[in-house]
Amino acid sequence: MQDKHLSPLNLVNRLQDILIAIFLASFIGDPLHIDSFKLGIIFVIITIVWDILSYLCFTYSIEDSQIVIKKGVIFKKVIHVPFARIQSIEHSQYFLFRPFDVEKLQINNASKGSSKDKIQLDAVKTYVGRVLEEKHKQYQNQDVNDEVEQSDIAKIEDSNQEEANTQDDGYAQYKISTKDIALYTFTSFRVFITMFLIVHITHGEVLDFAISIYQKGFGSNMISLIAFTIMAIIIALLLSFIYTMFQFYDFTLVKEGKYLEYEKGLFTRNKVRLSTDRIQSVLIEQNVMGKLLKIMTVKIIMASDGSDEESSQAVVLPILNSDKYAEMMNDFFEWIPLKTVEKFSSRKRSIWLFFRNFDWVLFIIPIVIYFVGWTTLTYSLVVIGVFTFFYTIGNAYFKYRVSSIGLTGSTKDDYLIVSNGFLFKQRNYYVGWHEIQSMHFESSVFMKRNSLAHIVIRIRKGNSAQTAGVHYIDYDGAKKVYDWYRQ
Amino acid sequence: MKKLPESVKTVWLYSAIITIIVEIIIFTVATIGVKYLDWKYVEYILPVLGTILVVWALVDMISIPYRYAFHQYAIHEDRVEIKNGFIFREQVTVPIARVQNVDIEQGPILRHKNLYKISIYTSADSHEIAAVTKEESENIKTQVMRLAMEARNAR
Repeated sequence: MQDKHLSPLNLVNRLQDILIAIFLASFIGDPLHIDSFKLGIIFVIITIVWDILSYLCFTYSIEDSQIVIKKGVIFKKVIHVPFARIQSIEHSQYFLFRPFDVEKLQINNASKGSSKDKIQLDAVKTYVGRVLEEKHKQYQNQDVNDEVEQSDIAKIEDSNQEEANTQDDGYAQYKISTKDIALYTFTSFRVFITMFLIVHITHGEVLDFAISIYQKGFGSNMISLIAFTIMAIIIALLLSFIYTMFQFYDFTLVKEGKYLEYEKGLFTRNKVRLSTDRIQSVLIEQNVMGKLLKIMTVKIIMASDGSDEESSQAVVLPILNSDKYAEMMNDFFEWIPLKTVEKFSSRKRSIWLFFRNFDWVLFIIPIVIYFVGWTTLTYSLVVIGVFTFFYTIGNAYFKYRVSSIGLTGSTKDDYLIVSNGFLFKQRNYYVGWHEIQSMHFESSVFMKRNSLAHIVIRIRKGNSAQTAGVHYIDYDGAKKVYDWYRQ
Repeated sequence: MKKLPESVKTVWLYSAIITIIVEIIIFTVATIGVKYLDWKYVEYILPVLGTILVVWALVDMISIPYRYAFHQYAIHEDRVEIKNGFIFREQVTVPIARVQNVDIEQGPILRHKNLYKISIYTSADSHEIAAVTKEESENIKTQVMRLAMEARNAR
């Protein structure tokens, strides 16, 4: 396929530019004493011409070994992406485009550039995506074959593995149920964060509005206040549930041989297929609610060209029951050894240390009070201080309980399990030796005296780094992990 | 484990002195400026903050010999190791196979002493060797890049 244009539907994507143009015109028209309406028309015409020109200048060719994209109206740009370099291809389809069989493709090649250089085909027929997937697959297999030729021993091992793979073709499927979506919504604290954000963005106007409704409708006694609050929370939960429902509508995860594929969404359907050896780390999250209900969330961390959560860290199993943990992990992530050979946990002393590391900040409060005197401001400061004090005690204890680092063996093919906690959410990272970009071993003079150390690793996530660390573990244990990495 | 060249101490000393002078100038000017503005508490905050920063820079200056003693690096067949820090000691290991590229940089103070700073990049982060001589920098670059190519092809 040579120098093909995108689907004309891409111009629909660009309709927002016209809105922006109109908005811009109305914004700068008045202060410049120009008729905003005329300016708006000029802006809109310029935008339309520009969009059509850039549409005409954007072409892509799928060649034998690479995809070539040409773009740019004034500054021409040609991008070559060899298929062997592609990490994964993200498909997303807006529901209005479905009847036309058109989707958006984002090609991740894990270069470390700005997000401006993203390789994206905004609107192409779906068969283009299929062709690309096919080529990508073919080149990835070729990669493997090249490696096999290099040494005979590796060849034997590889063919053994292939046999093993064919014997049990490693097919597994997971489909989300409405119950799981509900559980996923109600056990995460996202609702409250969203509520907080809405209040914050609207400068509390939402809150004022709610209070005015409340005062009109209910008067002001304690019981009706509580009832009103509960109602507000229920409405927020429902909205959040609907939102999650749209996002995770018909979520399907399929494991087929060496490939993992997931699909989700109602209005915009997202589909990503990636080879399991492109996964940088498997992350298991569990907050306090999850601990009580014995459920967790499994995510994968990938190298991609986007820095957004969607393309760098994908939820693959939103709800996983603890009792099914081993079985599901075996089905979908069979390459990860689940048994931990060695495990080093945080020492009890770390409760105090975690607490101290944050709470020295609270000493500012008495100092401020000393200088400023006792006003209404100091009153709320004290309340915040007391709240933070107890919250951080809890947080420190939680961190101590969940912090640990484990090894599944002693060779380079083994996995490191980093477990840490923050804001009452436990995170478990499974990272292979080859995926760790660097390891830091930290121990200050004072820590060494108490025989404590930190281990911090960096892994690739999106187009930047994810840091995962355990703090205040036994010095000798940390040294062992560090030596494992240095082998 | 190799140590940095002796002359890096002078480089650090110069940069510490420059930092202190710049900080003193900035905070003196700001404090005087704020006096005219009649901001009630900012008046106190600025000199306190300035003093803290200057003291910090002084500690940095005094600790140069110790930092020098503890900043070490080693380039092995399969990994780069860097040790850092006097009170907060840190060791980093980067496998050669993870290295993406090696940058050699030189600021004005380093140029004065004819030294180079080395940054080793992986696909996620970067690691620095504060100063090496010119020939050493070339050695490190070629060695690390050669080993990195070999390691990648071997995998």
